[in-house]
Amino acid sequence: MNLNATILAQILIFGLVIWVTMKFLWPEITGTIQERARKIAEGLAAAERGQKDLQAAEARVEELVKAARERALAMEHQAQARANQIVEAAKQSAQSEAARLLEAAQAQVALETQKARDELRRQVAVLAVSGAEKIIGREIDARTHAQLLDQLAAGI
Amino acid sequence: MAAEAAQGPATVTEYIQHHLTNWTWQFGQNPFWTLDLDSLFWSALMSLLFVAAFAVALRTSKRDIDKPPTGFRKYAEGVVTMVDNNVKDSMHVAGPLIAPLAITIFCLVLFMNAVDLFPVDWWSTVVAERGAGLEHFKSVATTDPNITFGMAITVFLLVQYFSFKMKGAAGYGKEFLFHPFNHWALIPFNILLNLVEQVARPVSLALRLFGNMYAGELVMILIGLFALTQGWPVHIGAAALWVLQFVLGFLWGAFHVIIVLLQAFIFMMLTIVYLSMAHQHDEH
Repeated sequence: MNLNATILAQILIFGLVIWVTMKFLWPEITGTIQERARKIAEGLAAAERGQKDLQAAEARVEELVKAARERALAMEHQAQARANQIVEAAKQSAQSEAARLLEAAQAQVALETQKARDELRRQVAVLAVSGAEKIIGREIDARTHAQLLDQLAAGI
Repeated sequence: MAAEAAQGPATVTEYIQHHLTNWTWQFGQNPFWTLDLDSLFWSALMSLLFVAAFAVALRTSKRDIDKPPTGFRKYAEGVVTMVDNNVKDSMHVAGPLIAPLAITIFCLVLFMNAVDLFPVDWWSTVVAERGAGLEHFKSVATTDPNITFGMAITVFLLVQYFSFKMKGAAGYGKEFLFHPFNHWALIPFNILLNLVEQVARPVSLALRLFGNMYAGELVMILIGLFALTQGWPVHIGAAALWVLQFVLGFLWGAFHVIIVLLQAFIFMMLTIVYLSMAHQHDEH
């Protein structure tokens, strides 16, 4: 083990290599590696963002579909209600019409009855007069006995 | 091994000596002024390899920034991320130098250590001696204490520089005088303690790496001795020694992969720790 000037030469060589590495090589390669790491990180972030966007879009689509479905359902209900309403109204108008017709018919019947009754009364009065004439054997003045006849007719 | 034995009998001592001697060049009167050319060659080569590999990885990273990393780039970016994480985990304050320093240390030590995984005779004997005519050529630069001390001293200097820069001369001086014992009577003791601590760091850094790699290399050389004096496996005993050498060499080599990695990692982690301590203000 003999130490000699080789130490000095080695210090020179070593120092030179250190200098070259520090000055030119190391900053460049760490810069490059960092740059790539940054790019990879960016790519990952972009992918994540895309994923998030996709999820958001899917959620929005689902929301829209849900809303549309709800609206369709509401419309259906509304239509149902409206139909019911129409049917109900028709039913009501038909019923009232029927009632009205019935009433009219009843009124007609009552009128006819009244008419027939009046007619009958009048005939009864005539019959009564003619009957009485036959009984009495003379003519009865209808005008003088009108009051009596009317009372008779009303009594029937 | 085989080639050597075939050429001529090499004694065990010669073989070991041959593998442990550097290719040197003395350029001054004092023997200190000597350069271990082989260690410096490998150090420089691995530095170039590191810078080139880093540059290639960087270019690929930049070009294919939108693609996932594949192949070589994946390993390069993996190492960068590993170092970056280790630095961030142990640093409270982020300095501009610590991470690049850490990755330089890790890769350079790893590359220089990894030469140990070549067959022990390949570079020294086959390539250098037979091929280039060099008598001595050690291939694992981290088995040369000059290299490990060179790196440890560089780290030491950087630690001192950042200690001054982050804490200021007054702050660093105060820490030196009143740390760990905050009493004026213990100032001399504190100075002594801190001096020992500061000096022990580069020494332990350098010697730990050197010791581990040197021992590993030595075991490789010793395993290489099995068939050294046997020549071609013409009889059963020699063949058995060849097989034994191969098996042991494989096992030790496989185990050595861990040491190669671990030592590089330890050197890096300790450097990070020392530098993060230099950035910290004392907490008492």
